[in-house]
Amino acid sequence: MSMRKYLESIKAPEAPPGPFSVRLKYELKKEFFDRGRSWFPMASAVAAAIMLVLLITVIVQPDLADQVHFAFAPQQIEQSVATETGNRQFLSDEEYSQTVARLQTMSNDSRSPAIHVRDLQDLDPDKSYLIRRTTDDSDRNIYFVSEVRSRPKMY
Amino acid sequence: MTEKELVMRAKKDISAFDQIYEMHFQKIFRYVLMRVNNRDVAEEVVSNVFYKAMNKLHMFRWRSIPFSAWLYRIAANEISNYYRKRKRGGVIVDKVRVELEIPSEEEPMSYDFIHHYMKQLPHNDQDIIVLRYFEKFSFTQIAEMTGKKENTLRVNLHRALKKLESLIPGEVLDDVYEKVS
Repeated sequence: MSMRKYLESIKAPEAPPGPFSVRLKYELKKEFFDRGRSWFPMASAVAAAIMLVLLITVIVQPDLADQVHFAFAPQQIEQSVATETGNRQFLSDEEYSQTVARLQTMSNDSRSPAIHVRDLQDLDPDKSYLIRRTTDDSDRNIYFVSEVRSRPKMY
Repeated sequence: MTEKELVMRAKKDISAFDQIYEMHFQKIFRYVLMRVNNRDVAEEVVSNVFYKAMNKLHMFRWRSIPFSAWLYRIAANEISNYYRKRKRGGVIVDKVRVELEIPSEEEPMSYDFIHHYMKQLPHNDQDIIVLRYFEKFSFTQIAEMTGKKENTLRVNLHRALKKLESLIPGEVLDDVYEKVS
């Protein structure tokens, strides 16, 4: 009898799936499938928290939102001031007071006093100005120019 | 659903993973158990096999080998790793244990009997004997698992059987052949 025939006649050991099979499957599922699911609510919660912080910041610190806006698009308004000279109209004293009153509800930065610009020559090129744009009842653009004497205080 | 589709889906779909696991667990466990002949060790090795397979599942491509062959290949590597670690960490203990183990001559048809001699062979030889005679794989399938050519495997098996025969004392072997015939 050859070794081949002898080996072929031996019965291979049985390996019935016991508790180990179930345990390993559970551990694998936990490791490779639950991990993704547990990240999803965590990521959602973090995103929601960031949004909430941003919202509160915009409400409590509108200046900050203003600064962020001007940080990203300062040239847009400056260019508008420069290019809209053809239709330029300076405000009357009464209109100026109304506009200041309206803008004061949007900003509490008292250290950047408003300048009533009657001529663009009034603006000193060596000084810094904060330019805000608003619209009047006739949907006309009104540019509100504030001289910045110091960095706005961060609250 | 084909095995290919199941494997592709098992990367993200838990029900596909379930099916793949049920299809292959028992075969892999039996193969590892035959190689290590110890249930606790087999459980440890099989855990490593499935963890590695799941970690590398994204790297598996249906190009040259079927999924089961890929799993057997991982299992063979894990068994080699296990013996390598054991050799490094517990040579003295193992030698004593091997010398004390005496196979039962009353059960020459048992796997334990032949395993006592098989484990003295190099791992590649043990592997090819287990895959060919106990897992009943064809040479083509073994070639897919091991990455070796069929002709090479035939030669390797022939040599492994000769070595195994030489390890069994002559009178024991005669006795075994007599009982079997």
